[in-house]
Amino acid sequence: MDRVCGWFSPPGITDPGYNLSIFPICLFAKGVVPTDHFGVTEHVDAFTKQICEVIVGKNQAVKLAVACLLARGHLLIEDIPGVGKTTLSQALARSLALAFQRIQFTSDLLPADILGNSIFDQGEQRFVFHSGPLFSQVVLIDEVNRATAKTQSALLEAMEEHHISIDGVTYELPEPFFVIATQNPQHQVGTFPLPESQLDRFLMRIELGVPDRASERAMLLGMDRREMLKELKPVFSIRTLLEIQDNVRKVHASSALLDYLQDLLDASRQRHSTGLSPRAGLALLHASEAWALMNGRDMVLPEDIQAVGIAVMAHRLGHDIEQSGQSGRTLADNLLHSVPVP
Amino acid sequence: MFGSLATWVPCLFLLALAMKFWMEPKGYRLRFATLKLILAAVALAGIFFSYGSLKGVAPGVSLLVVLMSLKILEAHTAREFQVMVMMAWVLCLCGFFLSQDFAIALCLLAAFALLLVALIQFHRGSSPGSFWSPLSATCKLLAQAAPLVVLLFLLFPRINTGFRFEILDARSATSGFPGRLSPGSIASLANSSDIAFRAEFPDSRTRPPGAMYWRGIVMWHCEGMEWRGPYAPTPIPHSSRLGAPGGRALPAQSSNGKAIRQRITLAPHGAHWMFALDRPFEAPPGATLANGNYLWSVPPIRKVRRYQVSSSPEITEKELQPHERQAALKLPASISPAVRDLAQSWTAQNSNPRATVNNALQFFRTNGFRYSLSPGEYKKNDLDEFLFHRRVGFCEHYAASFATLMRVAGIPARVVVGYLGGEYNDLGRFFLVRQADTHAWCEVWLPDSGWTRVDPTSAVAPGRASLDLNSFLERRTASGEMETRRSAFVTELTRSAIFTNVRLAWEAVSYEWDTRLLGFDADVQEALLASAGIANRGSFFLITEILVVAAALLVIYAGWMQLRTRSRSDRVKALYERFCRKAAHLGARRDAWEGPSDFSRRAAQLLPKESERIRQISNTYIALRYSPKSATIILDRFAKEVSAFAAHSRR
Amino acid sequence: MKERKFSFVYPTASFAGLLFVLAVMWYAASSQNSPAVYLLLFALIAVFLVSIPHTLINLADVTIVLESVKPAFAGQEVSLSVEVMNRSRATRHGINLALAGSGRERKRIDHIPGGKAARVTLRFPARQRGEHKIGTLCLTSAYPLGFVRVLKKFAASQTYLVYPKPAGDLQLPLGRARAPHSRPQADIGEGDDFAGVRPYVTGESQRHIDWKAVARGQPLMTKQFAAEAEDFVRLDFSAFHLADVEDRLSQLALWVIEAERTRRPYGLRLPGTEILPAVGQSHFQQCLRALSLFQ
Repeated sequence: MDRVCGWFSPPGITDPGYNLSIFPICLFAKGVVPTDHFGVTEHVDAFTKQICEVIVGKNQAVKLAVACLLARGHLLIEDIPGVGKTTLSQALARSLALAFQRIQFTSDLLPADILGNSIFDQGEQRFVFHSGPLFSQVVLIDEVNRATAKTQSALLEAMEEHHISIDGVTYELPEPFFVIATQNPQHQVGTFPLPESQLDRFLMRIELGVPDRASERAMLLGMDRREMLKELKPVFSIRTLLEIQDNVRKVHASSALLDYLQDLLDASRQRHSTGLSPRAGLALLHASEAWALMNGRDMVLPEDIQAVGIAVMAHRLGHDIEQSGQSGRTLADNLLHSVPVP
Repeated sequence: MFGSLATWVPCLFLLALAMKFWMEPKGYRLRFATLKLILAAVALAGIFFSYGSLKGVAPGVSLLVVLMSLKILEAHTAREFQVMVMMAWVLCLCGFFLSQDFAIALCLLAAFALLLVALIQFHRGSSPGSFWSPLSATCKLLAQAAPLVVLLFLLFPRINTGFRFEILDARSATSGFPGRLSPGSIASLANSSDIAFRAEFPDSRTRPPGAMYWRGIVMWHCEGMEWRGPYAPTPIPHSSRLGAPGGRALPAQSSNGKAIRQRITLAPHGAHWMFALDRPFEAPPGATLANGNYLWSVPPIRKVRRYQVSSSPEITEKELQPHERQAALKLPASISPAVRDLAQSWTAQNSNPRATVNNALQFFRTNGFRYSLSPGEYKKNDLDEFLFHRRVGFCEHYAASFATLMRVAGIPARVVVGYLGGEYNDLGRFFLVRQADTHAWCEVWLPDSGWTRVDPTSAVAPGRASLDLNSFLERRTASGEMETRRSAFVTELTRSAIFTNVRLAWEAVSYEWDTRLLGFDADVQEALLASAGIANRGSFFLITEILVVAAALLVIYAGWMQLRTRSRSDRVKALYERFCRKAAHLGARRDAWEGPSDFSRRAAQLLPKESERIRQISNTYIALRYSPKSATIILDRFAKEVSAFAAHSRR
Repeated sequence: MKERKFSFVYPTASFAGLLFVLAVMWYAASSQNSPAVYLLLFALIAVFLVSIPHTLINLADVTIVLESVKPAFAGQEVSLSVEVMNRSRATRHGINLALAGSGRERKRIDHIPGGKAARVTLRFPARQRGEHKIGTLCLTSAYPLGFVRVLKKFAASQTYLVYPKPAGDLQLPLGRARAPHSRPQADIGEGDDFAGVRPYVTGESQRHIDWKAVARGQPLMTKQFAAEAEDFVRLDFSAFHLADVEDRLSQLALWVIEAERTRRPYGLRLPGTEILPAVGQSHFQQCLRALSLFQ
């Protein structure tokens, strides 16, 4: 009997033929009870607006990225090179006056290259820890799927724990700590797909996509992006950001909403062999809280869950073996369009 | 309560209970059918030997208690527990057969409530809080049931099934009131605290002045120291009743305020006597006015009886019928010459009967007669012994000897037995007369004033007439005139203000129980319903009506419950669904997965005319369902908005 | 989980006893014309009537959430985890949970505090292989007095799988490629001879990854060694003879379990379905699922 190689399809293949849903889920649930309960909406608005000026025509993706930042999650951007992944992360970092580092992942990258090394100092006669590029507030990791599993897991562990242990010493990572990882679509040759357990560590996975014609023209006509990035001024301080992040957790999620959330989780578990994990549920809740706060509400609506739903759920559902024909986005979209709002 | 049960029956029950406590943790229980049957047979035999029969209340209740004990040993499943509780309720019912006293009733109702507690605790299983939580649940249940109980009690038709069976025992044995006045028969009652009757005076708010002589029975038949009443009283012929044309002189009627109306609640005593203040002139229904102006119940009084009677102290008969005179002068043959001599010595001094009476009283007052609760044994022919030697006696001795002496002296005389005094309860505004207040006095015929009451006891023990016996005895004891009956501590305690107040309050409540509750029987209910305008059209109609009303009530109740059991969030949801149905009717259908604010925007676009309302309703819904704080007022507003949405769109 | 709109209330068996007690009391009261006995009778009636809404309320706002059911083999027990949620503020007492249909187990929950949930596992035997509907779940409660019972039905749309009962006496058929001089079973998977590469499967030991090939820009490949490569099993429905289809499925199920236990790659071929050889939990379940759903 012959081996069929394609049988073991690596998880997380995105379906290139993905179409926007025919259902008009309104992603902007703004305008409902538009009271600014925490006094942070203007800050967030200004922040989002500034980034949108740099990344033209990608309002939705930018908003999701900001929500991810506010919800203290990490972001995975999956797209082809050249659509502005790096620009987006730099814009985020500069607009907040955060320390920014960029790491390009390659297959020969070792964990020590990103975490840091203890090097014997001849002068002082002892080992001195030289922190790696991960010790930064905003870390952009380009092509995260190019590195080997070893390096990937070192990174993802640091992302989860917010600290690094080397030679028995624990080093705290700075606060806030926001990792933006980019990933090439995985049908490209020579990549190590992120294991499903590690994909779960990213709060959201978004796609930037090619801008539409008008936006692209605006971009072509406009200033050089690099110049624009240099001119970006911090919108608010790190302290304000931390405060906003605290406020995200105070957004009220009523029991009706939690019912809806749980219905979603249950439905995913019933339909797919590996449904959404409890951590995915928490991620969904936190992301929608951040979304609600960004829209000036002190409570989460089902619309908020729906708005962040695909970004939060798609990469967690994408590795369903039984329904290998469908991408995670489709599965997530189907879920959102079939589970009734109670 | 167990007074009339064989002692071993309740003991067996307690033993079974103790056994159960021992057996339950070890997993033992009565399993074998033969053993159960043998035990049941043994118990049955035991009951038969204890009572001599299996018929009657006490054997029946005993049987139930014994079966219950066996059931306790046997019970294991949930259903058996339920059955035991129901059996215990039946036992509560049996308790009422044995006595309906307020104290007993209170115990039985408490037992009923505790059984509820047990049942609730049983169904709570291992829930935390094993006593107070089920107790509070029971209290809640009872509090909610209370109005229903009142309603049922007042309105539920008391249909007579026609199968009457007499369960309540003839309790004449326990009531001490004597049908025959023999020496010591009243003194033996002096320590009884049993209640004879209670009387209230509907026309006056305070106790009436003067000595309270409650007339019970008039004794005509003299046997020396012993007197007895007629075996069957002869009623006063209707024609000679007071007020009847050609009859005796009408006494002062209630119109001029001299007649005293009383409402008497008589404790069951199993005999025929009824009591009224000296002297009644009209018989209440079910009773006759016997010769001698006393009341006689036609059926024996086996349960609490309430009646209203009017008395007038000023009744005077103008003439004594010859046969009455003859009966009132009849003497036994055993009267000794010494007694005759004594009586004749009085008549010889002055032929006026009044003077003779005074002489006789003077005789008792001056010759060292003593008033005592324990005068010693007298036979019925011991008149001489009493009059000339021992000279110690209680009221019956004085009344009997005085009346006999009067007859010897040629004055028609009779003995009246009844009650004297009683305790006035300020709280309940009633007189409480106990068996201890039983008293005997005399009536003599004086040509100018008719039958006149003479109480020889007052000659010996002045002051007794204005007090009830207990107070009188206590006063005497305090002044050292009589021997102490109780220890100083008990006397002190019973005289303390708190104790007295509590006792009076208890008696007042107990009186309310007997009059208002036990008095509310089928006849009273019928009268009440009639006065309320609910005509009695036969029990069949009543039952049909009640069934229809009950069914309607149940339906309303169930509907209301269905509404109530739906929680607030359900209501919000239902209202929103209603709104969505209306919107769909207008052309904006909400998808099941669509969030409220998305739908609001879409519907507002689809229905521009309604956009404002849709937005408002959606915002209210979101506030109610998703916001951290939401007030009830908003819920009402929401309901109104949703209703208005329909009304508006249909127009 | 669909909740029926109305809850039913029906009398329990002890209600008959209550009726009897009430009848006795009524007879005694009316024949005696005794208000005291009437009072007892009415108290009992009123308490009973008032307890009915209490019973109804006891299940108000109580819902159940079904967790996904783990598949079971025929003859074993299916365990159904159910969360009974009390969404009200008050504590609920004495709730019974049962699956509709006779002979199925019922579980009793003594109390659920307000806003909390109780987790209950219903166990019932898995009889027939295939996909079964859970059917209707019933919550009942007779609290507080036990004379009436309220019933709330929940229609569960979920299904559960029952795998064929693993049975049979046939030997595990070994792959054709296997060398005649086979090693003892203990050595399986730890051969020494390099036999080639195959694509990497997530979760495999990274020790066998062909890193050199990765460095050359090739996709992740796992190096395979001889013993492992030779040893796979192909389970074919039509390759052996048993009269009864169910017996065959049972035999196949047994083989799947055995092969999975020894970590020997196995493939399954059923009429109309073919599952390629592999090992691992999801493959295992996929095979059993195919067996269970076989028509």
